Amino acid sequence: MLELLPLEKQVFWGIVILSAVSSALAYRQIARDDARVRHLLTAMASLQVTLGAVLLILRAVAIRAFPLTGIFESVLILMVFIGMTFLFLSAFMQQVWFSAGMTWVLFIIVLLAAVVAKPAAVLQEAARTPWVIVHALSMTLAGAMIVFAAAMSLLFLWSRNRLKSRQFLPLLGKMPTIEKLEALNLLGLRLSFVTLTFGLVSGIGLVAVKSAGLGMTLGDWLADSKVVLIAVAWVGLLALLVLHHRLVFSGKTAAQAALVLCFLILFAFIGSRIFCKSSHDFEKESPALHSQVESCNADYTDWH
Amino acid sequence: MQIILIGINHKTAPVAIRQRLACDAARVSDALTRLRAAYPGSEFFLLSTCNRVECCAVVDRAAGPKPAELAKWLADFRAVEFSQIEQYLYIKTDEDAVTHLFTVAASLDSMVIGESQITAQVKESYKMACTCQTTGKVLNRLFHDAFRATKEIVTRTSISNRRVSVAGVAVELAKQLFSDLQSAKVVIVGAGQMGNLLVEHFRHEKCGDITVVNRSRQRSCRIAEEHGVADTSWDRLDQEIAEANIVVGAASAPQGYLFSKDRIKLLMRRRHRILLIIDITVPRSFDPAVGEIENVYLYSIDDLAQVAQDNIKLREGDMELAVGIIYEAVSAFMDWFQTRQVGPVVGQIKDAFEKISEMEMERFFVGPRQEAHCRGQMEASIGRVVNKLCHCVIKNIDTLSRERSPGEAERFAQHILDNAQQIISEDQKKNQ
Repeated sequence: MLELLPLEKQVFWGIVILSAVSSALAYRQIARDDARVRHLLTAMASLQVTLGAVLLILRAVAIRAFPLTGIFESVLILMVFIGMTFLFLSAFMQQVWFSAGMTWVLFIIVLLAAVVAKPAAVLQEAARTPWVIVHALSMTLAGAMIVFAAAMSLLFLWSRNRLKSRQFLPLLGKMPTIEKLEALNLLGLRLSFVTLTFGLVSGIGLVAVKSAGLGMTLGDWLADSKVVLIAVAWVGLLALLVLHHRLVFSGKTAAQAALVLCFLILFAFIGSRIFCKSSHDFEKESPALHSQVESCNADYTDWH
Repeated sequence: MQIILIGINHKTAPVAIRQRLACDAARVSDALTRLRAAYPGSEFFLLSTCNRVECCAVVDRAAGPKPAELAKWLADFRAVEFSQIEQYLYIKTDEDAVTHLFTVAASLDSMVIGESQITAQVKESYKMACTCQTTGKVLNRLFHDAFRATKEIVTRTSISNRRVSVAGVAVELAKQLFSDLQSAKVVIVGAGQMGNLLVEHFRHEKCGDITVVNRSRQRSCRIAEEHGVADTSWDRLDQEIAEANIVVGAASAPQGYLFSKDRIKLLMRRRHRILLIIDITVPRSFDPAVGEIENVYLYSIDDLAQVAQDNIKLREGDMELAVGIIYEAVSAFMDWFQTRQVGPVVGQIKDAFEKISEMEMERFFVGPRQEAHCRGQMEASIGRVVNKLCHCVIKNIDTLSRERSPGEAERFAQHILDNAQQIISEDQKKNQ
C-alpha cells in the first residue's frame, strides 16, 4: 500500500487527511444541523482537488509523459472530476445532505486510490498514439459521471424511502428535491453514456491501428474481462436511458440501475485488474522509479 | 448615559390598546423628529407593528428624560390618556432593555417564534431612525449587534426555518418534492376552512396555477375570487387530478374513500411526474393504499400534524441555544456600553478632586496668610499630589474594569465620585 515516491506520498497523505477531516465534518454537519460547515467543506474539497492535480503533475514529471496509464492516475482523475463537479454544483445546491454526500463519495475515492497506489508507469511503445489519450480521458470521465450518478441515486433512494415512510423531518430543507436528484442522476447517466461511447470508439480506433503491435488478436479483445464488462455497461446504459425516455422505467428503477452500472464500471476499471485476468494493460514499469520507491521503503523499514 | 425602553406588546395589552398607540411610517417619522427637538443630545428609536409599539431611548442619566416622562410623552403624542395605558406598559432600563431589544429583533418574543417578519420590521424602523437622525453611537452599535446576533441565531439554530402549522408543513413538503413550486399545478378539492388556508399558503409561495374544485361551485367561486385563483366544476375533477402536481384533499367523504388506489393509478397512467397528495379530511378521502403507487406521495393530516409537533419541540430545544447567543451578545454590548460610561465619570472625579484641593487652599490662605509668597508653589505642589492620587484611582478603576467587569468599574468610579461630591457639599455648607 502507498508505494509512492516520498514527495508523492506526502501530498497523498495530505489528501487522505483532508478527506478524512472533511468526512468527519460532513457527519457533524448532518448530526448537529450546522450549516456553517458547508463553506468549510467546499474549501477543503477545492484544496483536495488542487492537491490531486499537484500529484498528477508530479507523476507526469516523474515519467515525463501524460500520466494516464496507471490505475492510480485514473482514480486521481476521477477524484478531480468528482471534486470539480461538487464545487460547481455547490453554487446552486446548498442543502447540507448534498455537500455531505459528495464529501463522502470523495473520501471513498481517496481510499480506493490508497489501495491501488503504485509508482508511475510509462506506456508501451506500441500504445503511444493520440487514441490512448482520448480513450483514457473519456473512460475516466465516464467513470466520474457514473460515480456522480450513483451518489445522486443513493440520495434519491434514501430521500424517497424517507418520504414514502413519512419520516421526512430530517430531510426538510436539507436535501435537494426529489425532482432535482432524479434529474441529476439522469444527467450523470447521460454524460457517462456519451463519454463511455467516446471511450469505446477511441478504444476500437486504438485496436484498429495498433492491435498487432500490442500482440493481441481480435479474439483476445473480445474475451477480455475489462472490455466485456465495459461493453455490457454501455449496453445497460443505453437500455436504461431508452427505457426511461419511453416512460417504462421510473425514477426509482433508474436510480437502482445507476447503482448497478456504477458497480459494473468501477469493477471493470479497478476490479478486473485485481480479480480477473485482463490483457487490457499497456503500462510498462519504469525500473528507475520502481527501484527508487523500493529503496525509500527499505530505508523506512530500517529506520523503524 | 442610560438606555430606556418603554412599550406594549401582544402579551401585555389587548389589540384595542395596541392599535391606539400604533403609528404608521409617517407618524413614526414625526414622533422621532419631535423627540429629537424635545430632548436634544438623546438617541431615539420607535418600533410600531401590529403586535407591539416600543420606544427605545439613550438619554443622559442626570439631565435626560426619565422613563415615565417618555411614556407620558408617547401617550400625549398619540392623544391617549396615560392612565388608560399605564397598566399595560412595561419599562425596562439598561441591560434589561438591551436584552429585550435583542430578543425582539431575533423574533424570540414574537407570537410565532422564529418568524422573520419582525426582524425586517426592526430593520425598517432602525433605518427610519437613521433617516430622522435620532440614532447615535449607542443605538447604532446596539442595533448592529442585535442584527449580528439574529443572523447567528438563524445560522446556528433552526428556529426560523421550522414550520409549526399543518399548512406550513404541507408547503414545506411540497418544496422537498418539487424543484419549481411556482410552476406546479395545485388542485384543491373542497372549499372548507383548511382548503382555504392551504390556498393562502400556496399563493404565498407564488404558485401560479391553483384550481379549486368543490361540489358546490358557489363556494369554490368565492375562494377563487378571494385569492385570485381558478375554480372549476366537480365533473372535471379527474381531469384536473390527472394534470396536477399537488392535490389537497379537503372535501369530506362520509361514505368511504373518494379516491381509491385504482382510480388514482388510472389517472397516473403514462406519466412519470410526481404527485403529492395532502389529505386533510377526517374521515380520509384518499385510500391509504394510494401511497403505494410509484411517484405518488400521500400524507394525511395526522402525518403533517406530527411533523408540526416535532418542529415545535425542536424549536423549543433550539430556544436554549438562541437565548445563550442573545446573552453573549448582550453581555458584549453592555461591556462596551459601560466602558464608555467610565470615561466621563473619571473626568468628573478629577474635577471633584481639584475642587476639594482648591477649597482647602482657600481655607488655608485666609487672614495674614493671604499675602504669602509661597502660595503659587504650594498650589503647584498640591496640584501634583492631587494628580498622583487621581492617577492611582484611575489605575484602580482600569484594573477593576479588566479583571472584574466594566460595570463594576463604573459603579466603583461612581461611588468615589459620590463621596467626593459629598465632601464638597459638606465643605461648602461649613464655609457658609
